[in-house]
Amino acid sequence: MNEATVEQKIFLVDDDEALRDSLTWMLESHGHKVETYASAEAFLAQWSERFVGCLVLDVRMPTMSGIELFEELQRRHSVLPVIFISGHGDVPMAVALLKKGAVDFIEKPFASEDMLRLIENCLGREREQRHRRQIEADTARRFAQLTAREHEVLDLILAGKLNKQIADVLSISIKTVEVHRARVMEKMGANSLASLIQNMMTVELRR
Amino acid sequence: MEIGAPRERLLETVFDGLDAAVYVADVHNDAILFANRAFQTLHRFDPVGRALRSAAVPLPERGDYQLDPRGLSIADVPCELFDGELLQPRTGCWYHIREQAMRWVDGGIVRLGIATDITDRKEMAELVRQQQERLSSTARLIVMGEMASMLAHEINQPLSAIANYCSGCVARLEAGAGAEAVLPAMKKASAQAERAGKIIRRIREFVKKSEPRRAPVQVAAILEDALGFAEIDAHRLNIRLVVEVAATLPDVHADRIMIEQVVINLVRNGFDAMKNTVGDDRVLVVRARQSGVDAVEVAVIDRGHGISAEDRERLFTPFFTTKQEGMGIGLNICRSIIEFHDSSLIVGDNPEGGTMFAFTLPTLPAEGVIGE
Repeated sequence: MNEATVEQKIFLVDDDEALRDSLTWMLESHGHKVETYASAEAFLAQWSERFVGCLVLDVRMPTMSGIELFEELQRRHSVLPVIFISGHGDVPMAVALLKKGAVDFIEKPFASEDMLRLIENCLGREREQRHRRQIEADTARRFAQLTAREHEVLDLILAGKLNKQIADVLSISIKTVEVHRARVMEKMGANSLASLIQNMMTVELRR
Repeated sequence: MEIGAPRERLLETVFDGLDAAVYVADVHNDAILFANRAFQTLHRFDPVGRALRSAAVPLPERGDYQLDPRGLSIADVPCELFDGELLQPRTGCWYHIREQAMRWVDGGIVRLGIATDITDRKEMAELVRQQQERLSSTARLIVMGEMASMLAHEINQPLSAIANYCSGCVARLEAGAGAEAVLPAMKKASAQAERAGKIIRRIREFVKKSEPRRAPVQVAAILEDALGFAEIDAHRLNIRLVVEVAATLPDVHADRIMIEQVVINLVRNGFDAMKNTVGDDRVLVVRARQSGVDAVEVAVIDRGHGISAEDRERLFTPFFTTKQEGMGIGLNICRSIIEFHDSSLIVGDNPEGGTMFAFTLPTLPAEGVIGE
């Protein structure tokens, strides 16, 4: 639960000092938290799964390029969304990056407003995705706590069966079905059939 | 094999087997005394007894000889008279000609000549040269393209920084921040503007270095160099290349190499334009004449398909071309070169059909160019 309230940061990796400084100034002027890194290596040395927000990354850097950093982060299963800053004429490269899962790219020179809008959209999406991942993990954890009998009852509930029909199928009493049903709802943290179904759908998608 | 054949027949067979045209002529009356089969084939009749001067192979001019063959005595021969490459203007074929003076069977002194057709080799060399020229101009373009892209990348950095600083300042001022809060960012923004200015200055210096080097030169000399190889093309394409240079033109003040490139380009365009022109109309005129008191006008006039009004508008647009294999930059570069020379490249209709490209070159040093 506390994960949703974690503060988002903009991680800015660019070898140009003036661009780092000015972009930081611009983003902070709009109330964002910014952390800057002068190289891909410097960022990688600090990176952890707990980095939350978005990564703004220059495509061209002298030693390790933005693309190499991006690929390394993918190997490490980072979910941090990435916005690439590309130079003029890098469009084919940008397209390839988008296909590989980068969130977006912006071509230099960019209007500050465009960059701001891009980052804010990105942060919004990141928050949603993080929230959804949390529900998924939560539901999966709860789902794992169900007994075999409760699994059977849950499947039948999701299939739209009434208590009486469930009792017939499983050859148990309606009373017993009601007890199981209450336990399932409690364990799954659902207060209505609708929310149970909704939570289960996120798990179903992952199965 | 006819081992027992007479020696004369054996020698004749050897001479007739040669690809090269072999001839012997009297040094005094120029009468042809002997010609092998290759020489006879060129003339389609037996040339023996006729004057060598009218032969189909090109001959050295009197002044080209190392020695005057008429002044030689028996003691001087055998000796070399000429060794060089000559163009036969009527056929456009190139020959390697070697002439020697020697003693003839009757005791007199004769010229023995061997003429080998080297047209194919010449054309091959010209092709190679053209390809290299194309390659080097492509390489130059690539270098310029890389340079432009590098500078664009460099100038992007300060421009982006300025935009960011300013945008941040606006946001803070709108939120009620005081002057002190935005002052450092404004100072940084102006420093970035200076950085951009420095990059622009560097571009200027780079451009300056590639400006033309102008010196006094005769237009006739420029045309001679530029048209030397065009003549081979003209012959191959069966086009008559007419060069009309007015007598006693003053020196022009121009970058010789650059103007040569312009002329070559315009002439080739003219040839291309006459692809579908037939017969006597296949004429390309290159004309140089006085224009006003301080300029010489050069015009390249073809009788080709002409240029439609629509195409004319786009003629100088980079990468516009009507040619299959063209890049659409030739005329652009031509125009830039001519503009460097404080003139302009003018395109007009040839009243006899076709197109005329013309430009003028100043005969006086342009103000300020030399001193810089």
